[in-house]
Amino acid sequence: MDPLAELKQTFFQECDELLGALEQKLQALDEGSNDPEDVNAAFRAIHSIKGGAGAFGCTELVAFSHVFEASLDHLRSGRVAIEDAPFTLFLRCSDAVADLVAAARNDEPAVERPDLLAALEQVGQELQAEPRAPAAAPADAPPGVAALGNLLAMVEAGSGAAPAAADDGWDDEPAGPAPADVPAAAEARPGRALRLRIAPEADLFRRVIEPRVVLGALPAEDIVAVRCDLSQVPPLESLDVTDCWMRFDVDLHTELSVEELHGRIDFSLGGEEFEIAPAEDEPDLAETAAEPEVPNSVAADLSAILAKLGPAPEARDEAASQPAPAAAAPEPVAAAVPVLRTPPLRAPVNDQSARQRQPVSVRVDLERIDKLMNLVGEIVITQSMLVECVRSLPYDVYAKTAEGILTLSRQTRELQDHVMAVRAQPVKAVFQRMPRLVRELAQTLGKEVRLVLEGENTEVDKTIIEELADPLTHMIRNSMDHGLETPDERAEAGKPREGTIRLIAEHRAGRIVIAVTDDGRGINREKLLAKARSRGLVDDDARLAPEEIDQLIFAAGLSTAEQVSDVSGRGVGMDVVRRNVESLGGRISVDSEPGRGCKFTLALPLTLAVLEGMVIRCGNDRYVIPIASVIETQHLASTPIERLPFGQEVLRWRGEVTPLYRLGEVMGSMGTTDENIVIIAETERGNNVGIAVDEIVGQQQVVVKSLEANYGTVNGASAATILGDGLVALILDIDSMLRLAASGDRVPQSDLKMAG
Amino acid sequence: MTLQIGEKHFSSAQPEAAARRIVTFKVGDRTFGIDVGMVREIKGWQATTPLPHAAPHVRGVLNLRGVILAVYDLRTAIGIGVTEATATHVIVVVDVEDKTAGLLVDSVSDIVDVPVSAVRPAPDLERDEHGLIEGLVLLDTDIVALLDLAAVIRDGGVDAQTRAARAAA
Amino acid sequence: MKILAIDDTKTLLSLLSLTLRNAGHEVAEAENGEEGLSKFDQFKPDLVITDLNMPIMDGIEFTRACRSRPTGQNTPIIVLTTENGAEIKAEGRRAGASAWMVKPFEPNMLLGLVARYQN
Repeated sequence: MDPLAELKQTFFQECDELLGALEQKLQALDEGSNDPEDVNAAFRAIHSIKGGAGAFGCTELVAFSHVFEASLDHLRSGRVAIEDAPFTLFLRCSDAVADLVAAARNDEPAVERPDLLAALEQVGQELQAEPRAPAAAPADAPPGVAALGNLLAMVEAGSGAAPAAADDGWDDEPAGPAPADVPAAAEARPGRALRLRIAPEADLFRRVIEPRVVLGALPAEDIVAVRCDLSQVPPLESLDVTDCWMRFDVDLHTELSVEELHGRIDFSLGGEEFEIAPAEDEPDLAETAAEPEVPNSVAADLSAILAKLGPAPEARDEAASQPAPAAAAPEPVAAAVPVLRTPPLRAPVNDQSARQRQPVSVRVDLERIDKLMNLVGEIVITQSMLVECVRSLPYDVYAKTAEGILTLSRQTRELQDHVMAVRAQPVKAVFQRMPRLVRELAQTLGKEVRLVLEGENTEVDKTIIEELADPLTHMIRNSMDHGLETPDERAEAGKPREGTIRLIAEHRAGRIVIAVTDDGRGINREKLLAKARSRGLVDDDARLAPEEIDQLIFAAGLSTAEQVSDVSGRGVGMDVVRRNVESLGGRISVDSEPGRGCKFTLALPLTLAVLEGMVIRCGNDRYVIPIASVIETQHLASTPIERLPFGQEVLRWRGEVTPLYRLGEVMGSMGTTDENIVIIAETERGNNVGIAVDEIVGQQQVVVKSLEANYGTVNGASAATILGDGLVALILDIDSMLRLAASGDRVPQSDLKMAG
Repeated sequence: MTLQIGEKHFSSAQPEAAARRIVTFKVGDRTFGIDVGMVREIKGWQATTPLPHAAPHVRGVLNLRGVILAVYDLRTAIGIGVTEATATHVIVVVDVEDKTAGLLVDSVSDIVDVPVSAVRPAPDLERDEHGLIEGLVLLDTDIVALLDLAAVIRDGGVDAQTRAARAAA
Repeated sequence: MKILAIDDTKTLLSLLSLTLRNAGHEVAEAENGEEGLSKFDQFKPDLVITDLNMPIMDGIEFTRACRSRPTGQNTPIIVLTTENGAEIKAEGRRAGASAWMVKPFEPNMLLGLVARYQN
């Protein structure tokens, strides 16, 4: 990718963060924070988005952000009281900005939001009536205060073409780049005579403005004459050489308009420091031409001289070395003292606090962290390889080495944890998408909802972050659609009209637990049970405990949503959510209290990059079973194997008939199998199965490696890992394995043996 | 001057004069070749982990510096048995489309430059049912069969499983 | 030329330095005024281009701080701003800014301005 495209991508990533911050701050303000720092932060966010958008030519985004920014600026400057600000509008605008960013990112046409723009403009309009008009309003800008050539206007106009200039619209006049080739000889050229008078303030040099730099902004061919007016320079004995008292008169013969010239000069000089006027009369020009005027070529020379006079300390040296009256010599030094004195750095109190709020951080490419993570994975493997080597050493050597290896193991583990921590991201990244979802759904459903987020800073590995959005979205949709009642229904039930949904994240027992709680009507058990019965999911005579009925919400093919609902009824029910969550090694459950509300609890591992696994052997092959799936292990000898009529082997485990699968057979393991051990594992549906294996080799943390990246899906396995000896072992996926066992599509083992 | 123009003219009129650089390797007495640009590295045989119910020529997966890739037995792919892999056998690690794969062969023989014009289309061979051979190059001593690597690999992976499923059904 | 670029928007900062580097300048980057000051002392730039609106220490404060140290009195400081108002320019001028440039900048225009400070 070329660097620019790459930067653009980075910009969009940055936009996501900025949008999150923007929304969060606006939300806080909407909830009454009244903190000016929130306003500042929101302003900065949209300001940065606008800046970047302009740089990458996202015209619509610039245009919208510009108006949005202007509105926020009213708050920032105190022209609009925070309490009076329309934050609901601002929040909708931040959604609109998010849409514009998405459109720009995907190169899609942007949806225009004239409604929002008009509403935003309104915030400005009301102000216009106030005595102190915003300086940005072009109509009010006094001539001579016109700002720097307005590039923004150019961008907004979508091209470099000058927008139709209003009569006094100096602000809108773009300062075009200097024409590459301007035809030579002034007198032969069209154009008119103008006079530019530069009367800088005394601090010109202290601002490190060199007159030549200012004059350099004008096309050299257009400069007819430059005169330096020294009449204002005070007598040498009272001259502070860091002050500038020179005035410049520049005669121009140019095709540029007054406004264009203005735009060229005011990049450096204040509006009151220069003046452009038509040359008083043509004879004047003739006169200057007649007298020993400064020809074109001299302009540069003069500038060079001025430049030398320019910056303070050099000027001082210069002045001192000049054959000046003796009395003058100490003067400049004395004058220079106040300049050279270094006043204490400005460090106001709010800066300090800002520093505390803003932890020092670096931005690192995820790719780099992934590489680091891979490397750590390699070290983990090498380390376990060492452990295996050491086992074969004679005892006395072994004892010493083992100690070192133990330390290494601990350090490796620690290193891994730290790298994982670097990859970890706060769930905020996902949580912050939810307020918008809730706002939009509330509007669609005609419900009043307050969303409360807690534990947004809870961190999980990025692999999990990516997987959180879908289940959370579904859980919230479900709560809003089915859980919460309409405002009227709530009022009738004696509840506040506004429903509350809480989204709470926390770490618990090495997992991340996210709860979505609503204070709605709870699960309608009768309806749910009736539906389950009608679908044949529950026997008519089965007696289910209330809690058991609640869990039916996750049953396949059962959604309490009347499918017509366009909110939750998108064909994706809670069963799909459950299946996805479980495939990630997570669990989802529901607690409901009729009339009081409902709570969905989602528990996921903190990462998908490593997992705790049991290494087992079958024939010549080794496999890893995720510990999360293992309930118990026992010797096969102590467990009688029985057969069902169609040949399925089963065992009795805790009084239940549990199907038994021989791993070597299902997975087509090489070599002769000798099953000694049965592992009782749990399937996604919560059923138990027995898996017969030869041997349990050990338990260890394994680094999850993709099989899809270079091969494809492998039935029976979710991924692979690399064991201590460098060989690959498949990580078993119990459900996929059972599907494999059930489907008759296994290639006869003899074929496989041959292939190996 | 004229000569130069002539040469220039000649070369631009004959773009086929460009050469392909080909790595050749042996499986039994047969010689195969692939473009050198596709070869990532060549390494000695190392044990693979078999995949359940994969196509017969998928030997299994191995760990190449932390990346897991599948190894395909070229001997099995062309239907002349299974390679009894030893330390002297070679895995040619190749980049095919967006994947990295290993090709198990007996030995790597040479790198040769072949004019593009010397590559002839593979005769319509009945035996090459999967279209593994992309073309032939006649060298003084050998006939090199240029492999269509994508075809070799396409028959592994998911496709192999559906194929196996179909075969079993 | 040695140029110190200061902007809290990392993308813009990168774009800024990319533009400048492509034109053959040596660039140091800082993400706010405070970092800018310490980079200023280390890097000793010939020219500074700074954003105005930044957390921790904004461009105005940076400019003031820069002008108040002996080494910072002769270095031109170009201020980048999206605000196109006279007020902000006046404030920049009081702080000692040498020039303004409206963001988003057009690369050629920026380079043109920078070139004027060369030699």
